Amino acid sequence: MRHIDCEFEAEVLAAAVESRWPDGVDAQLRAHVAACPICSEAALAAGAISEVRNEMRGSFVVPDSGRVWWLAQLRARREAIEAAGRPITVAHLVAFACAAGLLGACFGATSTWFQDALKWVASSPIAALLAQHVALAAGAGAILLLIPAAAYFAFGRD
Amino acid sequence: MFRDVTFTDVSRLEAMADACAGFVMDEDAFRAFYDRTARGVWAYLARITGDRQMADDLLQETFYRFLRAAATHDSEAHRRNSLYRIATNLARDARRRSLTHPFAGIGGEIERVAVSETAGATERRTDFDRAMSRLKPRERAMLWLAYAEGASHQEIAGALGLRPASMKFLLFRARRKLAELLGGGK
Repeated sequence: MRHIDCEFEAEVLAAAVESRWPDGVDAQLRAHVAACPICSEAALAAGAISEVRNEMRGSFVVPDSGRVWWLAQLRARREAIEAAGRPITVAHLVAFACAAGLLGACFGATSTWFQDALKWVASSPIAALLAQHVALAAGAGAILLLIPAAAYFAFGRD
Repeated sequence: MFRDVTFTDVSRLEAMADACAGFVMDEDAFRAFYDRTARGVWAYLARITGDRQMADDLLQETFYRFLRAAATHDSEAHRRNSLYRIATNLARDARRRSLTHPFAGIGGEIERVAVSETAGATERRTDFDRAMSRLKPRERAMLWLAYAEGASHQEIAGALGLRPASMKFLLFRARRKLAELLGGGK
């Protein structure tokens, strides 16, 4: 089984991360690292990362903490308002659907030409065909509704 | 009557929104925590995404989600783990969304800032960027957390959603790969 650690590894890593490698460690440790593949890899990789981290310091500016807090507050509030308003939107939609249904029912009950048109449709061959294949017609209708919904959930959302 | 109902609804809505928008952390605690961690998180995001602009965006999002998570943390280390875990997940999601965006390395942009650096240092960093770009995102993340942030195996596992028991070997393998890419593997 391959060894993946060495008793000096922690010491080498500490020196590399604290930018003490190689000049800030004793000659004995340097000699060990030269001979030990585990420690030499540790010194090389950790030393390179540590060096880049030190170079990155001071080369970028992060946004002010007060600004981040303020933006977070605004966004949280906006999202909370949206979430709180969602049931109201649903209630509006239901009310609109009820009103539309009621209006349609009144129109259907009072309009003679609409009733004549309904009678004509009911007596047409298409209506007779659909009546004979109710399950097929319902299935086709469901598929027509389900396919766009499935496509939306599969591809439409991020 | 209509006006009363409208006012009641609006004020109720706003009260609900205020209640929902509250964070577990207060402003002073957040600002202190942000000042301690933001630079490290930004550097981590920049390294694992290879994109400074994306790191800017994800930094804000990371802290926002941290606040919204409303989780209680028993220690600073636990809080930092949560933060880095959020950052890791966001970076992973961003990468999935834009697979056309390969790791480009961020050294070039930093170079323009550090005018006084030597040619040797520039060359070393170019080599480093190239080597990092050939690592898997998870390997980049674990190496950066371990050797730039000084995170323990437990903390790295927590941040990356890995089993702590496997961290030692995974880190060893990633480190060996980086050393080989840097030309020093034995």
